[in-house]
Amino acid sequence: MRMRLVQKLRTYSTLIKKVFQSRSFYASAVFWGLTSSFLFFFMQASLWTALLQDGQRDGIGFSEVITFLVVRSIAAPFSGSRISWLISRPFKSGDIATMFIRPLEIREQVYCEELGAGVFRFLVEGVPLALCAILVYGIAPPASPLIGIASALSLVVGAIIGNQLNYLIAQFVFWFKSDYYTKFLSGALVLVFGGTMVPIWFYPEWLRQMCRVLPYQLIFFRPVEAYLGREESVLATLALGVAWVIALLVANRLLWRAARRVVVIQGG
Amino acid sequence: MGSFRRGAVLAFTLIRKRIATQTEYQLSFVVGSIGATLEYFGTAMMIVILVRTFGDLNGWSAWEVAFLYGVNLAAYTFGASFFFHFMRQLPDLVRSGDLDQVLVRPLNPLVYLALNSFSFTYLFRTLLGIGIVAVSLAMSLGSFDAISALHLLSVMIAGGVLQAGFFLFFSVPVLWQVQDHGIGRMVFEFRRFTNYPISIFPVAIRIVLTFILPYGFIAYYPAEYVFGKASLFAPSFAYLSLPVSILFFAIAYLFWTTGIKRYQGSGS
Repeated sequence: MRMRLVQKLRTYSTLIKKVFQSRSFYASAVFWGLTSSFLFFFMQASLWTALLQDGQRDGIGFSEVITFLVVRSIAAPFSGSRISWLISRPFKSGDIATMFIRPLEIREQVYCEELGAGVFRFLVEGVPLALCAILVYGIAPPASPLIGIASALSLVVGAIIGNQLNYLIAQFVFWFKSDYYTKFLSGALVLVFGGTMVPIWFYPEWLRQMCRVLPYQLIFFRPVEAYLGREESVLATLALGVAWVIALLVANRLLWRAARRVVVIQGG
Repeated sequence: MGSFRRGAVLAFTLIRKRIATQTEYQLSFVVGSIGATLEYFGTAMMIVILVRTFGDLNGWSAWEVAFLYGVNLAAYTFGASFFFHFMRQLPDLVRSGDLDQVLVRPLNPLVYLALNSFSFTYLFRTLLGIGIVAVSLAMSLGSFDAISALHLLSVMIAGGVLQAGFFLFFSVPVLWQVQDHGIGRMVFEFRRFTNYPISIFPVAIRIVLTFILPYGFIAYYPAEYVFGKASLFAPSFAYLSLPVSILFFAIAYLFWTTGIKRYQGSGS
């Protein structure tokens, strides 16, 4: 069942809207989620205050770190961390058979769900948190307006890369029959090579070398670097990101074709 | 005494059954466990790298902070082994009416449910936690004797009991069909503060983590004693892990029994 592009886009937006609505149903859930995020941010800020102690290390000071934390809280909703679970859920229950014949491919369904959830969390948690953090702690300004825009773009590209990487690993559920460790594996890789917990500025040299050849640092660390004016060529970073997106799209397509052949319905 | 023996035999049987179910696919279990452990291992590694780069965190060395993480991890996974799945499953039990069946049995419903929810899947993570504790002690103190090892084991078990208390406490609203929209998650978010020495946080946080949500007693206060740190409140706090945990669990248990009574009285 193939749809025309206009129809497809309309279906996407309906699905995204539905996810959005289901999330906003419980106001108290939103409130507590916001409180948790604020709490976590505050904890990180306290930690970095203690580490830096009004000083700086290798040219990185508190305002750079706050910038890192703010960008992370803005980008986190779009990290696609639930992709592993979203793919494995219908697989385990057997619904995957019906998902194959729906007008939207599984890939598209999963991305729409993630995007819907991401937009919601971005608007409801990310933006308020970022604004409060900027007001309370202050953020480093972009190196130049143009660089600001370019780094925002590389952040978007980075989010796509992150989602693609999660999707790539998530597809192994068709071979491993469980998402139990694909989600942890994804998490561990992004944590260590993406610099989500500790900015790559503070990594030992050997680890930094490894990060350089992997796409994880492009998810949001390099965009932050670009924003702070620490990148030699923002356009080169952007181009590198786009290259990885293409490579990952191809890899995912190939893997998906192989996966379809392997699907063994467990729920039935 | 005879009923105690019967109870113990029953307990072992239930746990053995759970272990058998979860390890049915041995390779999947082992690989899955390793995967689940990866993210925690990665986090521990990041903590050591981070504090090392800055020399120390408020007077705490990298390995001393890792010790905190290890104890927290071991305690959490130990408590979660019995109560996480319990907490997850309870809404379904209530909805399906299966809870009523459990309540009619002569065995204490909580004991039965906790044992029947035993998750062997936490094993590797618990071992990781203990491993991190051992390594961090070796790296920071150089040596430790059997008495210290026993003391630490009791600290971790006490921590597990405290964690279990939290799980139990936040399961009770389910009995009254009160939906938890995230206050539980926020409370668990507080736990993350204690991966770092709570001396880096403002007084309000320290008070919360000591007297309201006593997460500080899992790792921080014992660590004050182990590493000879200046005490935040009183030196005796270092020894209060077990009494505080038992007291906290007792409060949670009272809350649970109250909840069960109301549940049974509501004529469902």
